[in-house]
This record gives sequence, structure tokens and C-alpha cells, in this order.
Amino acid sequence: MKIFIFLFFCATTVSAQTDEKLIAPVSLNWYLPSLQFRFEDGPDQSRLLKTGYALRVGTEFYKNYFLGLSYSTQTEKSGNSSLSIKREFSEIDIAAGFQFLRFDFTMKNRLNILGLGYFGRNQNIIKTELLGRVSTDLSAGEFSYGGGVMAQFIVNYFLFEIETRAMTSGAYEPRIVSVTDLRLGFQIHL
Amino acid sequence: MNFNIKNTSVAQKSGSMNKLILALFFAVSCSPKSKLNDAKGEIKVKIPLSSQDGDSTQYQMSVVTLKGLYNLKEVAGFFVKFFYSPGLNESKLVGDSPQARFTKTRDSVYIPIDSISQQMATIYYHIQNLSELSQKMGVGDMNTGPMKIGIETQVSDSEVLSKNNAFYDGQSDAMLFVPYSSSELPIAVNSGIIAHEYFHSLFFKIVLRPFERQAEKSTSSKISKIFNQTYLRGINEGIADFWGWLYTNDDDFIRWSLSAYSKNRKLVLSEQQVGQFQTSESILLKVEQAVFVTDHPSTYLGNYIYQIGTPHARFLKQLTVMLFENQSSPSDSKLQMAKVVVDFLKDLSRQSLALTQNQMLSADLLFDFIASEKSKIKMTEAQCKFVLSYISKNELRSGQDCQKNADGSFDIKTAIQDIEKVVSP
Repeated sequence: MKIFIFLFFCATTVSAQTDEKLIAPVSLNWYLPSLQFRFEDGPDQSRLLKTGYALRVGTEFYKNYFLGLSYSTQTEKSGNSSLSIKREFSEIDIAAGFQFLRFDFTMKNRLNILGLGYFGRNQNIIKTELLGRVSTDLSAGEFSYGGGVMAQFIVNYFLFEIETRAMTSGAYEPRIVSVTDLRLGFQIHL
Repeated sequence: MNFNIKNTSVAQKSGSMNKLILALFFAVSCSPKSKLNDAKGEIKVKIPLSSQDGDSTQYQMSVVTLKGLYNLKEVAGFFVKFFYSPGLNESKLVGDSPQARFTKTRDSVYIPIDSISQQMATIYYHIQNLSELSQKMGVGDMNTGPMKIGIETQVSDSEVLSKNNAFYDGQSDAMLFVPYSSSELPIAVNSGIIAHEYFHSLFFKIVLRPFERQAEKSTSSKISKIFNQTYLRGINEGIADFWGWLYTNDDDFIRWSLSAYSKNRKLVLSEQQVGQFQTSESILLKVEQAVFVTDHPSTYLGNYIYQIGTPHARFLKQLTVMLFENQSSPSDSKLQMAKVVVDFLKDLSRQSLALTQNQMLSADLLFDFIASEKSKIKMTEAQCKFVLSYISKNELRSGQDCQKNADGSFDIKTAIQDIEKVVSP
């Protein structure tokens, strides 16, 4: 996962230097760890809005296109002190999109509406604690993909984003999960 | 506020992107059902299981195979059908199937990702094993079709049953697990307790159901009715505990989930306890007391039935251990004793149906049966003396002793012949 993130940064940096006309980034977006809400099956037979965390970096290029890399994580626990199950879910997605609507309020303040497509891979780590002994299992990775919309408020160099998407994966319960991210970040113009 | 809406030339430029996004939405909306629906047949799962480590029992996570699964999403199959928080409608269990969640490892082992899913997989595995054990004992036809299991069952009319409990309900023919709020091992993964409840289903079908049908028509006195009911409840609980040991080899399986009951129900027989059990006279005394002090004698006797049952359980367990020396393997002697118990249940059913008005069952029926030729146990001298210590309490058998047969085995044949004369209607 770390190597993946490293390669992504290398790729964006290199492309910025070597092929400016084609995919020259106009900005790099850096985000603080954000809140993520996933509407999916919970441990008590109900469908819950679960809160997790996400990290993202992104770049805008050609002014209207966006490419981002997201890492999402979520933890869920059920059971009691003698027998408990802790599920650590993580997913890494590449998000690619375009801006199809733009509201310019002032020179540096605007609202962008972007359509996004996602492709990624997720994995579960299950830690079962039985009478004080922990057994850890790692699931096979599953692909995930989906589509969504992002509202991006830009005030000077600061970003506030609300993004909602429908994602699907063989590892999801249900198979289609609604995911919403709230993000704060800042934009560096190149 | 002034602002410009720029639909820009992006719309033209992004034609291909539009198609991609639309394709993704389409793919998402056409997404199939959970992959767990397709997991069927033999499936490997990881569940908590008890295992023997020398003389002690440990629980550890183990990979087992669930057989005959129709659908892992509901953990439904040939052996079990689950209901979540079910209700009763005209004696039938009704409710939705709980939806399990598993994640699959690279080795194709399914790992439950929440407690309910883990409980479902664990219960399925044990019912599968217990059904196979029943087949070996010749009572496989007693529980036909998938056993109905209720989890997180809400019981409102009984404080005792409403939490940290499990029970078999004969009316709906279902094993019901109520919410577990203690900090110990949940009952739904305690293999001994699952085996205990499974035995109740056998006892109900072989003994209780025919007996209850007859009792409805009976005009026997209240005392005799409650006496017979109490005795049957007692040995039902006692032999169910023995079944729990038989399945797990854990003589204190109850402690993992209900440690408060461990001391009284642990299947360890001290020397002082050999030959000790609740006689017909002591049960009758307790029943009369219950009828005198309360309008609900069955509830009043709720704890007392374990005083009847546990000596039976300890007796059976001790005798099975003693039989280990006769058999090629402990599992052979366990299977032999399990068959003896099933034969006893059939005999008990016959005797209870043959009761005439106001007649009460004898509290030493199990010991009599084991001592008789009907049990088909070839006993050593030590085993015979052990059994004798239980039946010699009866005045009718005083002065009897173990006698050696031509094949070298011992039995109490003469004494039993006398008893047959007395007991036979």
C-alpha cells in the first residue's frame, strides 16, 4: 500500500515535469484525514451508517480533470470480553473525474461539481480474541469500483469537499454501499 | 452574490469520461447479490472450538468444514435453519433468517466478521456433528430436516429464560438461544451446552411428547402428575449434561458460559457421592412441599430438578470412563453408552406410558436399566460394584452382589430378575 502511494506521487511529479502539455497538473490537493460514512450491514443485523476515516491526495490537471488516491479505513467490533471480533477494513481507490459544473463566486472562491469514477482494492483483517488469545486472519483482496459526485468548495487555497458515491465489491455487505466523505484540505497551484 | 456558471467546453472534452462514469453507475446498479449466496456445499469456516489438552479443555480458533450448506449468507443447509429474534405462530417458529457476514481468506476459509455470524457457523457445525452422532446411535430419524434454531430470541414471560440461556422448545421443535449479556463465553458457541440442548430434542421426541399426550387425558392426582413431571425433568437435565460431556469430553463445560452453576453441575463424582441420588421418597417429599407452598410447583422445583439430574449425569459419566478399559478406544465406549442411554429412553417411554392412575415412576429407573440385561453392558467386577452401589439402596435388592458369568463379565442378574417381578405390570 505504501509503495502504491509512493509510486502515485512519483508519477504525478514526473508527469508535471516532463509532459506539461498533456497531463500537466495545475494543482496538487492535499487533505487532512477525513471522515467517511458508509451505509452498510452492521454486526447486529441492521444496516448502519458507520463512521471511518480516509486519507486522500489528488491533483487537478487540464484545469477540469481530477485524479486522486484515497485510502479508507474502518474498524468494527462485536462480542464481549471473552470472545470478540474486531474487523479492520481498508481500501485504496484511484478516483478519476471531471468537473462538469463550476460556480465562480469571486476570483479565488468557487464551487466545482465533479463526476468521479473509482477503482480500487480492499481487504479485511479479522482479529478474533478468544479468552485472551488473539487469532488474526487476512482476507484475500477484493476489487471495488463505483461512481459518484463531489462538491468542492475552494476558498483561496483551502478546500472543503463533500463527496458521495456508490461503490460495489465482492467483499461488501450489501454488495452496493453508499459512501460519503467530508474533507478539508488545501490546494497548491503549480 | 454574483457568480458565473461555467458549463465550459468540458462537456465536449469529457465525453469519454461521461461514458466511463455512466458505465460505472450501470455496473454498480447491476451488481449481483452477496457472494455468500453462492457459497454452498462444503465450506471451511473458522470458529471457536473446545479441544483437549491433556486433562484440561481449551477453547481455540479452529478451521472446520460445514457440510450440506445451501447458502452461507443465511448459514442454512441440510442440518440447520436459523431464525433471528423469532416469534411463535400456531406452534411454528416465525421470523427472518439472520444474514451472516464472512470474509474469505486466500486459503478459501471463511472468517466470520461479527459475533452473530460466528455463532451461526458454530451452531451449524455442532448440530451437524450431533446429527451424525444420532445417526450412529440409530435415532437419526428423530430430528428430520434442518433443525430450527432461534438466535437472539426475545422471551418476555420468563425472567430466567430471557437472558444468558438456551432451551429446546418442543412445541415448535426449535432450539432457542436468548441474548447473552454476561462476560463469559457466549452460550451459542459453547459446544457442551449445544449438545445439552440437542439431547433435549431427543428426550422430548422419545419420552416427553408421548408422555404429555397421555398425561392430558390422565385423571391422576396432582401429586403424582407433578412427581412424574419432576422426575422426568430431572433426568432430562441430567442426561443432557452427560450428553454435553459425551460430545466435548469436558466434565465442566458449563463453566465457560455459566460459571455460577459449575460447582453443582460439574460431572466429577467424589467417593462420598457414589451411590447417592434423589430417591423416590425424597422427590415425593419435595413435590408435596412444593404443592403445599405454591400454586406454581413446577417453577418452585426449577432448581431442584438439577439435584435429581446431576447424580444421574455423574453416574453415567463415571461408568463411561470405567468402560474405557473394556473398549479399544474411549470413543467406542462413549458410543456404547450413548446407545445404552437411547435404549433407556425408549424403555422409559414405555414405562411412563404404562403408568396407571396415580402411579409414579421409580427414581432409580436409570440405574435399574444399566444393571439389567437390557443395557447389554459387559461389566468388569469394579464396574458392576459401582452400579450395585446405586441399586442396592432399594430394600428389594438388599443382599445382592455382583456375580461372575461364564464369559468372565459380571452382572447383578439375580437381583434384576427379582425386580422385574415387582416392576412388571
